[in-house]
Amino acid sequence: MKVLIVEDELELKISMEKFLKSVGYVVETADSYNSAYDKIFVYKYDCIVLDINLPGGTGLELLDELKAEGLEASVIIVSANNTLDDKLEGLALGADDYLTKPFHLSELNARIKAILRRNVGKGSKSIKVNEIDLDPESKVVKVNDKIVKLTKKEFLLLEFFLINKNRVLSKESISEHLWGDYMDQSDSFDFIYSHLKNLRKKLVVAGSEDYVQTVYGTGYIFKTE
Amino acid sequence: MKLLNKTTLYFFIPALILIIACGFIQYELVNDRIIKRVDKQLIKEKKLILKQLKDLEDTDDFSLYKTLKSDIEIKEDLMLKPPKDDFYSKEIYDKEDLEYVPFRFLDFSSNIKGQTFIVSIRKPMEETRTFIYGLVGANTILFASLIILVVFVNRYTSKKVWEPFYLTLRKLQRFNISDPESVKFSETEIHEFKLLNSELDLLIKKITRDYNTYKTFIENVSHELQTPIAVAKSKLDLVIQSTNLKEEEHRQLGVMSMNLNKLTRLNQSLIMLLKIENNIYSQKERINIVKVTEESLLNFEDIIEIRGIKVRLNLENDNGILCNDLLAETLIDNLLKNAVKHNVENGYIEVNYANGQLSIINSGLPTNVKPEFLFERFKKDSDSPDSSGLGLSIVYQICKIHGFTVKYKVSHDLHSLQVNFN
Repeated sequence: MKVLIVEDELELKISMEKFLKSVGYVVETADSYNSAYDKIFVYKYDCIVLDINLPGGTGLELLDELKAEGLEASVIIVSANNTLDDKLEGLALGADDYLTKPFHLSELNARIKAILRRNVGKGSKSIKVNEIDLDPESKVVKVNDKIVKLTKKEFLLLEFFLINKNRVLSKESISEHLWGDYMDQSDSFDFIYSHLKNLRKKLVVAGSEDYVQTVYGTGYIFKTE
Repeated sequence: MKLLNKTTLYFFIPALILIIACGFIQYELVNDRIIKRVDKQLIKEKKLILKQLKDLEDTDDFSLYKTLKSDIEIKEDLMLKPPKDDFYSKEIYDKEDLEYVPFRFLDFSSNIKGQTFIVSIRKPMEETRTFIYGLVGANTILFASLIILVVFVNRYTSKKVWEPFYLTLRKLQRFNISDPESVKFSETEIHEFKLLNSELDLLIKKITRDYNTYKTFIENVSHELQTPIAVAKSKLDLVIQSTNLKEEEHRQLGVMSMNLNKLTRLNQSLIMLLKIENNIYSQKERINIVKVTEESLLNFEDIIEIRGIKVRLNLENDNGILCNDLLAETLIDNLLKNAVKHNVENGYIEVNYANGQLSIINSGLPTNVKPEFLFERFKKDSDSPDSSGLGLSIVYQICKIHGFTVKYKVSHDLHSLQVNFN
């Protein structure tokens, strides 16, 4: 899978590049409208992570050009500007998703995964990790081909873990993935803990290995290696 | 107290005291004069009686005289020393009229046949008293009506004179910092008010300028903060992946992550608040509050279930209220979040909506913070360090720009927030 990151903030670009490479993508970067333009029309990407404010033009203009040319790459808009207009305009121009800065890298990864899966042929329908098989479409989880009944939040939690397997997930990133801004941090940590406890119990009972490990202080990791 | 009432009162109280004092003095003066005159008559009469008694002394008609003169009382003096003339006023009960009638008395002594008698003569004072009362009463009424007239004339002219001032005041009350053009003071002929208006004009211009500078500054700060926060957050996400971190280091990174997140949320709330103030969300449409409330509640399903909070809904559909859709969602989200966050284990939330009136009642802990302060930025109950203190400010701001009214009431452990969309 080939991803292009278009971002003018150097350090943020490096972070995204590092993280996405570590989860197995082929990553290229561009830091201005022109360099991004050149790359998009020369190489073929599966997904483009596009910042709106760029030197030399806006990400929305680039998106417009890209769609006008009929390129098939999926696009995630990333912007510090959390206005609805940008979001709506971006989505209207054909972007697949919209992420507001600042975001967690694990969240970006989850969004890219979801987009690639949705856009036919660019990802397998279900997420398989050893004996666990999760189908995001039908919301069915199987362990050793046996269906495990999970609640909505447990499902989201497992999905987030599987997509970011072998990465340490901070409690904050989990909380944001599950509840967005609706939950207070202090509350969310207890809730994550209780949801996770139930999830692990269900998976183990169904015959799965217990992959989830607590990283004291920071969060959790779904460890398969 | 109104200026007009104050000045009226300042005039009225001394005037009232003056009326009372004048009435009293007038009464005393007239009364004094009359009594002196009556006393003179009594002395004249005394002389006459003394002469008559002298003439009678030789005859035996003394006792007859005593009975004939009904307004003279003669009795034997038991004291050895003859008393001096003694004037005094006294009321005597009139058996026919069944009332006390005032008299002026003169007691004097007379020597008749070697015996000292006290002679008491008197004059009725009823007419004079009636006269004095009439005089003082008439004068008081005259005086009082004069004062009332003055008060009314004064009030009327004051009202006229102060009119430009009240006009300015009304304009100031309507002043809205985000729309400084709304205040335009009207022309006046009175120099002082002209000065006041021009000074206020200058002041408003300065305040508006300062306000805009400050707003732009906050806006810039908030937006500029987004990128460094994003960078820091991404680096933190990478650092925690490192396999050779010690537990203590992880703990510290956890604290960093938590605080960075707090900063993120704070900044986002602040940006939201500024955008609302700047009328970014000015596009309005008919919003079904019931639908928004039901959808918003889904976001809190989890926390409501885990904390054992009971939710009672009494929602009545109507044809919607005119509001920006995003702001309507934000408003309801923030209200419900507030009700959930400041709730207690196994507490309850009651949401009522009918005819454009929304009330959200929830159980919670008693708070010392005055309810109206909770709408101010960063004002929060010290018991909830986790809250940003901006949620209710956002609610307040959304209500303000839409012309909704919002009230927060706390009675012991019962919190209630009411929004009137009409």
